[in-house]
Amino acid sequence: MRDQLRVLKHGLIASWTMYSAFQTWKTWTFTWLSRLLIQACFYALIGRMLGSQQQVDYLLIGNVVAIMAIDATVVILLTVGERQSGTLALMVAAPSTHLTAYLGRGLVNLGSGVAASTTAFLVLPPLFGVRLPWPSAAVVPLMIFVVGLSCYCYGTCVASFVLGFPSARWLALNLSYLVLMTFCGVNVPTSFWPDWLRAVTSVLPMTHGLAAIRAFIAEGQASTVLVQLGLEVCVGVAWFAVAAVSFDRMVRRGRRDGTIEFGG
Amino acid sequence: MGLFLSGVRTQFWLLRRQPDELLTLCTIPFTVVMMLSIVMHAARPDLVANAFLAPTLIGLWGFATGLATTVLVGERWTSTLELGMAAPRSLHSVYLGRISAVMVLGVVPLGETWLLGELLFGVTPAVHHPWVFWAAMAASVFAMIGTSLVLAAAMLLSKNSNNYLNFLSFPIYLLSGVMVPVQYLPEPLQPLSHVIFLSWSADLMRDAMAAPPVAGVGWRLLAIVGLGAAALVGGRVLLAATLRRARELGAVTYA
Amino acid sequence: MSVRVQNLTRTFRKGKGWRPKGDEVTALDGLTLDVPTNEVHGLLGPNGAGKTTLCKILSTILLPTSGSAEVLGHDVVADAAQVRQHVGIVFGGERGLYGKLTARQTLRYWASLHKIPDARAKVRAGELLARLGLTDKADDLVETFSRGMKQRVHLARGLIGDPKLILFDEPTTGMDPVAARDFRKLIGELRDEGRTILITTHDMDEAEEVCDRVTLIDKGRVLATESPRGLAAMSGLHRWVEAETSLDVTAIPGVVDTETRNGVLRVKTTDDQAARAVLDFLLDHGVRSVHAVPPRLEDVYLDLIGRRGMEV
Repeated sequence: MRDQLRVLKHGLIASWTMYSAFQTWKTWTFTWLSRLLIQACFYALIGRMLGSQQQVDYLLIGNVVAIMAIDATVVILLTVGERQSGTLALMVAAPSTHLTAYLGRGLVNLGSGVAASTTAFLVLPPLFGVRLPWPSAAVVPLMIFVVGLSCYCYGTCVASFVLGFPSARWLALNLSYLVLMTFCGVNVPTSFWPDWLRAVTSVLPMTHGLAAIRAFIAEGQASTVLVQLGLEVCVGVAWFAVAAVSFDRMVRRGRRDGTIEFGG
Repeated sequence: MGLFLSGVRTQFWLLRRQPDELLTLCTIPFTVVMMLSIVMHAARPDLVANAFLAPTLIGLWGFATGLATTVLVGERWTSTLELGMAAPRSLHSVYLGRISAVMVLGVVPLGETWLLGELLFGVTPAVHHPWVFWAAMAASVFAMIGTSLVLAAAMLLSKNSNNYLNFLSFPIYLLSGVMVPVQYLPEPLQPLSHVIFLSWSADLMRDAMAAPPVAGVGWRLLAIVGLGAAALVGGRVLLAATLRRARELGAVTYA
Repeated sequence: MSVRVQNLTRTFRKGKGWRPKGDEVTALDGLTLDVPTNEVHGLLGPNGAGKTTLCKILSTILLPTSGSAEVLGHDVVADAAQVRQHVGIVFGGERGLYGKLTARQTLRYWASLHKIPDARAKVRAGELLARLGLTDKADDLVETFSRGMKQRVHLARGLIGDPKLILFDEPTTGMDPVAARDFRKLIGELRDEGRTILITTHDMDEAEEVCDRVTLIDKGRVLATESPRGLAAMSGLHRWVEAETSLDVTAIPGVVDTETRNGVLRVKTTDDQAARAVLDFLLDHGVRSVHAVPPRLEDVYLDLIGRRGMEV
């Protein structure tokens, strides 16, 4: 375990170095964060066009949380990039497990996403007249973090499959987060969808976590909030387990059929 | 003209081999479902036209920022920009041709949106003034070509062009009123919308779909074409300046 | 004279902005060079010596800071359009190719940029593909090609405008020996057609084999321009001895350096006398295959530029 944590630590440092090569705090704030905030505003404004504060509330809160999904699933691109830079062979040959390094590759981006959602949660509601139950609303960023982790796990699972089809990585990334943003109760309640689709959304991240956040903000029952949050965690763990197994299988298959590239 | 067409042809050759570049087409269905689900769930059939227009124009813009704009950045990556600069003929026409080829595909999201609306939700909005609608669409494609050239030349200067291209999505969608008309924006922001051709396109196309007669069609079309032409000229000047600077400094990027 | 470069200087400024104002770095420092028509000329030098900067200036994609450069009598600044008509560029490696175009499409695209009408471009592309042995693969994507084949696409691309001067930038990078041999043959053919060829390379054997003359460049200046053999003779008084042995000769006075390659010992000595001493020593110890050899270009390169290939 300690070995794994050390791998994780150095993996994080490496990810951070690479991330900050492309983003400074200025570019992050003015290009990325601002874009995500405006994205949430775009949807909240639809609520205003629909003419009811209830719609504004629903769309704003949904999208404040949903904007984190892009960052949380960027791990799909990063793992493929990691493989393309030829490190897979080196990591498989190293004594420690490659799983930590690979599946921890996108944690910096997850941080960016959670930070963006949290900022949106603090800044946007007053602009759109959305009331929050302060001071208890201060817990919401923690819940956003839980949703983020769960989305991240889902991302690693997609990543473990896409590793075999690197040219599909952009498509996979876009589809992954768009599915969450479209169907998981962000813009309309999941009850809007046909039953089969609703069943699918119940095993996707975001659905339960977002429901928990909505219930909490509406000052619903604590049990509802906790159950939904618990379900969100379970969904995340399940996706991560599948990711680990799938990644391990890919490496084992690679050792058998020689598809682990050596030296790129 | 020959050079322009050679650019168009080459871009089609490239696109045929890189279907993954047509990513925008795969994201349109989600936008369609999001927009239509919102208006259907709110029981507002009167806003179906907005919900159809948004994916159409977002798709057009998506083609521009996702594909057309990266034509020049891609040239820099592959070092073909240097080879092009050493060729006897000027690069502007060939690059404009390549960008135009991409933007002609920008019409596809229109068909895709209508098809998906019908298939998934069983609705299609009426277009009461089809000629105005199509004229606005054609003018928008032209304006998008010009805008793409400016953006492409600007991105050529940047090392991290993806950061800027990511930014140029929702802020533009919001300001140009592709879904929610500009009147809903805070008043100080509204003048900004007027310099984005897409806001004129969205307005005119929405009016073309509605039943009442459309006022000032000529002027409004002219605004779209005019903004597009200005961008085209600006793009050409910026590209020329960028290439001249690259010859002087030995570096294309700004930083 | 195909290329006439006089007192050419090029400096770069570090820093950011539209006009960077940082420290000045000199890439070319008063370089003078003449390359007669129909010569195969090699540019040798360590990384950062200024070889590529010179090629960029000759191909008009970079302006000189001062001095002048002419290609076939046309100034690269004032008559850039004329220069571009006559210069072909060939990169080594993967740069400069569209992986998603076929070899034929690549040529037709570049033909349009070289003012060749479509009908003629079609014929010319066919001819070039045939000449470079790519006819069978003409309609395959370039990204599926081996290194050697990509290099041939590069060559065909560089030849599309029928250039009188061809600039090769590290052409044999990553080529296997067979491909490299074919490449050298082709250089000979291009010269026979009356073209002038300028090659930048790190490969001494290649330079020795294909170049009529070579120029050694370091720190933006010309160290020497000579035929490979003439340059080798400049290597001071050093003499080399080769022998198939594993004996240690380093103790003999006048031995500067030794190296063993494929079981052959190469001994660098200060002068004739020292070389003779080594020969005698080896013969005395019963070594049969011993001979004094002329210096190779590589030896001269190392002598003049020093062993600092790894420092850059």
